[in-house]
Amino acid sequence: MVFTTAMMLVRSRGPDEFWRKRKIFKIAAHFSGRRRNCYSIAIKAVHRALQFATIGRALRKSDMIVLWNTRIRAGCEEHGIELNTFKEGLSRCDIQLNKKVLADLAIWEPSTFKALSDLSKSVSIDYELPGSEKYNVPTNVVTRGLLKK
Amino acid sequence: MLCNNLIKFINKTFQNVSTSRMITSSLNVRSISTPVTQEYVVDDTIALKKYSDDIIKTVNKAVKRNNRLFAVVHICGKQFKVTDNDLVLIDGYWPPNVGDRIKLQKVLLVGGMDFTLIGRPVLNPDTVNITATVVDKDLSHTRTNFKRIKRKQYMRINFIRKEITTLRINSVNITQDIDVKKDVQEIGRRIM
Repeated sequence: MVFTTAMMLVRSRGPDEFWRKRKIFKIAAHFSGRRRNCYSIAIKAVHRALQFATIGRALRKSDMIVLWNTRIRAGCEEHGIELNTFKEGLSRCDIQLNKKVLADLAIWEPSTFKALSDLSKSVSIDYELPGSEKYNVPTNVVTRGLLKK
Repeated sequence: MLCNNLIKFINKTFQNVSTSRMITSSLNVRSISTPVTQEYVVDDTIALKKYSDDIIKTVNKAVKRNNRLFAVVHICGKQFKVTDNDLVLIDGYWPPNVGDRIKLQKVLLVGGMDFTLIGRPVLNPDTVNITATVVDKDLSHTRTNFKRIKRKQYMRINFIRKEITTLRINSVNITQDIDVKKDVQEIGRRIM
């Protein structure tokens, strides 16, 4: 294609109409009704879908955090300790397991999770954290005050 | 303490008071000071050491009884719960190449059927041995990053493909007893 002036370059639009539309129709192939066949309707739906996909990638991360918190809280309630006290107790004695792993342990390794919750309970009693008055001192944890800094 | 100081002050100011008065004041000092109490401290270091030795012995026995362990390892900014023959998918840039055999050293937790070792924050790298092989290195599927603002003629589209590394966990082992300490120890490496 020869452009005699710069004006003509601006006016000539990209690839051929067929290829331009096929790109959009390919993405819209699984949509329902006229949104897959009519170009003017399809392109609106494709733009919406791509925007949702971009936003959804960020949303999934926050959703997962909520899910993990729910799972850890359920595990904590089983052993009679609050989620916040549990996390605080673990961080006070330098255990840096993250939410994902703690949720995994709560589901698949219940005995390990019980050990962690007992440990966290006794640490919170050592530090006299708020809400730790009502806990019974776990008999299977021997700290001798060494976990307290 | 404050009372004692007060009484001393009074004693100084009323030096010319009759002796009987002085005696009463000095008596007061005795009554105010806290009575000396004594408590017997039982030396139970031997009993405590025996108690902790027993616990360590039972844990070491439990470690020997287990054949399949799980571990929580920290790889490339993320934590994974792994066992033998697991495949771990690592997202993003990570230097090791295909075929590399590596030893994972940031081990946060190791557990088996009836015991769990918890690291604060990581376990001794001499005690736990986790080996892995880099199986595959590839690019992920294409993620479309599409932005658009209505009625403002703004539209951007980018395509992203990140590196993906697949790691095969070969073995999770505990190589020595848990309370073994060397004469010369390295601590710098253990701090994360």
